[in-house]
Amino acid sequence: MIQVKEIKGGYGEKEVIRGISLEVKQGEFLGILGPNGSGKSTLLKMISGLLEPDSGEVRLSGQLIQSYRPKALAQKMAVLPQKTDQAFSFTVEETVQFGRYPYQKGWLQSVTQEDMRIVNKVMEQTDVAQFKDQSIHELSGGEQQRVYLAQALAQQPEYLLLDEPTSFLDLAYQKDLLDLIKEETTSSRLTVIGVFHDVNIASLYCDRLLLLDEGKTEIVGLPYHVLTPERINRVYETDVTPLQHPRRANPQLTIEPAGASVASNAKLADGWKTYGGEGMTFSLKQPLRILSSHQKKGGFFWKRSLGTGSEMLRDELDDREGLLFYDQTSGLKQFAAEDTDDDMVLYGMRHQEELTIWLVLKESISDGSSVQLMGQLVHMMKRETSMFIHHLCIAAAGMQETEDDEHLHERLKQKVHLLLYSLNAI
Amino acid sequence: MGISFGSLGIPIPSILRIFVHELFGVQIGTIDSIDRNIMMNIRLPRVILAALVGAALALSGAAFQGLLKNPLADPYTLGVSQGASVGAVATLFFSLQLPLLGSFTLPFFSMITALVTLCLVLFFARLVHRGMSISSLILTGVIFSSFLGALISLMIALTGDDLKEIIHWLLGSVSMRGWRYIALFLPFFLVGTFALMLIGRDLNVMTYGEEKAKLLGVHVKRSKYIVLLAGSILTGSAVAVSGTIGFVGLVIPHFIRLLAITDHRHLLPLSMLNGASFLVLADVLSRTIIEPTELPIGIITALIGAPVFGIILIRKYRGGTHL
Repeated sequence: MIQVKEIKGGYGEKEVIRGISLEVKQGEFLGILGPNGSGKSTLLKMISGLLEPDSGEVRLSGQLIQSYRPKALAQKMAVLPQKTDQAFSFTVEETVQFGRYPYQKGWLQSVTQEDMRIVNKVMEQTDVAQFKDQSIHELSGGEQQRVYLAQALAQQPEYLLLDEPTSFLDLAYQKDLLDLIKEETTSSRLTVIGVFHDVNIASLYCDRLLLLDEGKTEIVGLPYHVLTPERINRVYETDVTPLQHPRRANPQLTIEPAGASVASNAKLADGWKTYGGEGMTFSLKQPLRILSSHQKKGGFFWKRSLGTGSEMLRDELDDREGLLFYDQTSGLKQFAAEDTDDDMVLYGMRHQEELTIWLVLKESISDGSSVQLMGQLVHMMKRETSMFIHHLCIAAAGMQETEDDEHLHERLKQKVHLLLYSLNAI
Repeated sequence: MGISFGSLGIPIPSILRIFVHELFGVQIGTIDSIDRNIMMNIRLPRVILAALVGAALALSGAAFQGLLKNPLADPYTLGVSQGASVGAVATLFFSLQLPLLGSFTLPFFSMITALVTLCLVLFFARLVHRGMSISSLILTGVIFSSFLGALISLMIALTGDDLKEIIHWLLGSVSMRGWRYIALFLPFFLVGTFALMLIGRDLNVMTYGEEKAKLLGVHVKRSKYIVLLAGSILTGSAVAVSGTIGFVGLVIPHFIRLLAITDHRHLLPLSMLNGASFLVLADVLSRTIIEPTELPIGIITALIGAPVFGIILIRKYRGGTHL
């Protein structure tokens, strides 16, 4: 267990950490977040014993951190920084071996069999054994970081401190590294404290989060508790919007760039294309906010084009970016369009006894209104026809502000009726 | 070989005979007494001294490069050698001669000034930064070097006639030193070497910088002092007995690293051996290349070392490898 009690201090006169207490239990993964200059790294330095606090104390397994001898401390705790510089070309194996330094005794400076066993084990674990005899400089940044994680694990620590360990890694390496560390927290009950600048990554991997603001604890708690948009807006002094991770409950936040998105003035009716017995597509030079009722692949999307039809058609369209496509078998199809109005068009396709209807709106509508509209659309169709529905889509082009349209429901009802009539579905 | 060549050649069989005779008291064949004299009193001590100085410079160079995380560091980075030189040049300049020491005055003084310089450098580095960070050390070393270098230049400028003697000393030489110099040098050499040999493992980890080394369990302060003291003792005493011989300390460790040996546990002893052989060879060249005049050995080390190193470096970099 790591216990931090009321620590204060910093560099010289400047007090960076202004009274922080926290406790991290064995096997826990605590993330430290905070804007630049809030004292994240300084706090980590104090926990690792590199920087002595002016007041307060840090205890590892109940003992004051200053009371440990260097080697004893290195056997308990390892630190993985965001980047490790090395002027000389040690091999990967040598580099990992240095993690055994705290266990090596005596004047002979030899490496024991036990050392070798552990070095090999951690190299396998971090998947760097393949580079064993290569110089560390021949490896990419992501691979190097894995080597240094192996070095840290070779210390067989109970506590692992991370200082923005994924800053210089691309996505796959970030995930691999953090998956590995997370795995260690369950398999070897490793206790991890990590400083992160990416709130979303921290939210996905940490059990608890500590949010720092100007050297003080803003809040410690579970990610959903800490990462509320209001709090992040205040502490980071920026506007964030909450996002939903499709398969995890962990809160995610995103920012919106200052420049307005460019609106085009394309005509909705120009977007539709049919391909005989193969299917149909709709696309505008404009991202579409789409709600789809497709059973397996439905949901909300930002896409540039929408398509449905045979595999052949899909292959043909394959290189088109931002395509949302729903498979149907090829064969005789009937198409119909209700595109006389400029702000709302309706497209339909009938394939045997199944109907596909797309509703495209010029304005931008909220996701909630979209769901309501979908409900109304289903209701209208059920009243008119008994045919199956393959899928329905509502696509908002967002080319104009939302208008309060009292007649929308009536207009839609009429269009649906006409469309279904054209498709011989009534 | 180092013993054999010289303005008067001694054939190798004679050398072996003399060796056997001196060591075991067994006489094989005839021994020329002139040969014997030259070998035992001039050549042998000279070769041994060259070997020891070469070993000391290369070893401390390797250790300093590791400690200072800087492949460009060499035994002279910390200014200790300039300290030793100041002592030596002052001795020559003022024609000092201490009653008890006789011709020994110069190395003795030189050793003292080297140690004083070391203490001053450490003291100042601590003033600059309490934790004595590596950068404050290098800076202090460089500042001291230039200051002491200026002192030396001043003395040279004020010297009228003996210029050649001072310059010759500054360029380094292992000739005409005799057994007494070896006896003076040996204790420092042994202490310094012993200390550095034990610290190879720590040095490996210290190349990551002090913070990381501390996190890996190194007693950073202690290890740092050991390397600084031992390296400076080796350098200071080597300069005291042989003058400033450049290049060995910088190039030999790199040479070994280019052979893909980076682990200090191997790098240190290998640097020693290669430093020793390199300097012995350089010494042979220095006295044979334009016989009977002897060139200062420092010229030879740089003249050979620099181009050879350059060629190796280019080849290695073409192969895409780092230092």
